[in-house]
Amino acid sequence: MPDAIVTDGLTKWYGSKCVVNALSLRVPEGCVYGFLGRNGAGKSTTIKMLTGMVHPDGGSASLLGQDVATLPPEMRQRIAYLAEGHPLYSWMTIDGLMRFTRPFYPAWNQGLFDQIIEHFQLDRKQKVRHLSKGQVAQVSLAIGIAPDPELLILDDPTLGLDTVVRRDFLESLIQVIQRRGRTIFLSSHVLGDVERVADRIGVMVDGVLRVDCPTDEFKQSIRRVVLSFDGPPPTFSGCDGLVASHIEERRLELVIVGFGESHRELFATLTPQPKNIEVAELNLEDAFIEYTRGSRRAMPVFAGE
Amino acid sequence: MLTLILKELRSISRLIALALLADGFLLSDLTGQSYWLGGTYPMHSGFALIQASWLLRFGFLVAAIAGALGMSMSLDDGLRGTWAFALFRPVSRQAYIGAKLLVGGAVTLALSVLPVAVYSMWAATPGIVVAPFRWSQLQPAIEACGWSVVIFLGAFLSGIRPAKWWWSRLWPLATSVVLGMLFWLASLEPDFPPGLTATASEYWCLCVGMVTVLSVSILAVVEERDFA
Repeated sequence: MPDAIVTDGLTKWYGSKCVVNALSLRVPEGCVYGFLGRNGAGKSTTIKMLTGMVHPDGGSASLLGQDVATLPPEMRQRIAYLAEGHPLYSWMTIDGLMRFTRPFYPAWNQGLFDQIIEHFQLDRKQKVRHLSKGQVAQVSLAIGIAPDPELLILDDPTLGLDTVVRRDFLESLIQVIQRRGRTIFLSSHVLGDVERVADRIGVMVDGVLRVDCPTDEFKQSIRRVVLSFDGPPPTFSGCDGLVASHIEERRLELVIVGFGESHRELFATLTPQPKNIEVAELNLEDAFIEYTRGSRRAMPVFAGE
Repeated sequence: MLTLILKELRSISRLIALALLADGFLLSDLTGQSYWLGGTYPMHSGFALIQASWLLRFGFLVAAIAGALGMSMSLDDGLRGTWAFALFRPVSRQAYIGAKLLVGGAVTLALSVLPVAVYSMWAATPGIVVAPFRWSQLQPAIEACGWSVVIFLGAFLSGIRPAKWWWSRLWPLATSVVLGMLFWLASLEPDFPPGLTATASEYWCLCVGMVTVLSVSILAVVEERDFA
């Protein structure tokens, strides 16, 4: 299957900070790709490079087989981009926005646009500035989908939406996915959302793509391992796939990617020997937090109590 | 392109309305109809068709309108955060910005020419002005109208350049205003400012040159810069 998105060594510097570091990524056609990372991890910058808003300092990227540096306007007819915060002209009405956008797209599906607007019960005469955040996101989705794009790039589309609106938005997105194999590249902070829709995920940590695998594989390969000891735990020097480790009284907590027999053998060599070994699965949210947090842990808020 | 032009016109409609109001005040001042604003100003009673004091007010207003339009049209998408929406439409960056320049330039020119055109039609009517009407008498006002496009482009370039406001960002606007003022005055009054003289043709050559340089610079900046 050909790739809808390909990046090769994509790099961007802001001043002395490398915000995206040699990103190489392939998203096959028909795939729903969840692009995860903490704030400042480089997700939005990557998306801006993919959409040509920002020029990369190194490497290359292509969408639907066309280099983004020379992406002709006709190619953008086949791609929808919903930017973070759904920026739309606030002084336009929904109808005005539709009238502005429609002439750019020969394949504009007016029926589909009407259907989405009616589904969300939006007043077409309403100006965008008078809509709620959720309604703006819905209009943005309608505008994005109506041209019948082959590839949708969504930059944190549910950011700032309440749970109900987010659910509605995602259900609409799922319906879009079900329409003849569109490719969707979706960045999000709401990991539960990604878990629901994405069949592959990438995790950016400090500008580097640390994970790029099927969603289930990520969930299955990351484990929280808790070693209990009779006394203080020994100093742990590390092991393959170690993401995080910390000591809590008589317990050594480890987060490990690709946990297996070799790790159990290693634990058996520890002095003192662990009294008990617990291995727990993590849901995507926990796995993501453990993976991206690394050695940075939250301050214990009630430490004195 | 038509949809882009209509969108730009709509987005600056409030500024156009304000500028029309200012044009109206200026026109009533010039035609001596400003008594309803609190005083009479019978400028047309003298021999000069357009007096110097009015010309200066006109020049200032034209520059202000051009500067406001240039800044507004270049900063609008950035302030509203709509660059990502606008620039991902299936048109080139040059086409999108070109539509802005086309609309802004034409509107600036129209708003500058409007009071002069209305006044000249009014003044050319026999029996209104106690002096012979000659089109050449409108030359200084027409020159100011021409330079208004330069100021619009200078303001637009200042707005769209990714530079520090308190350093080089305002240079294009400052250059277009200062150059325009100097050469306009020089074409009005020989040897003023001292040492600077400019014939009408030299003035227009400079004007066209500035329009070309600024337009090319804007399109180059737009192609090169990031819209983060």
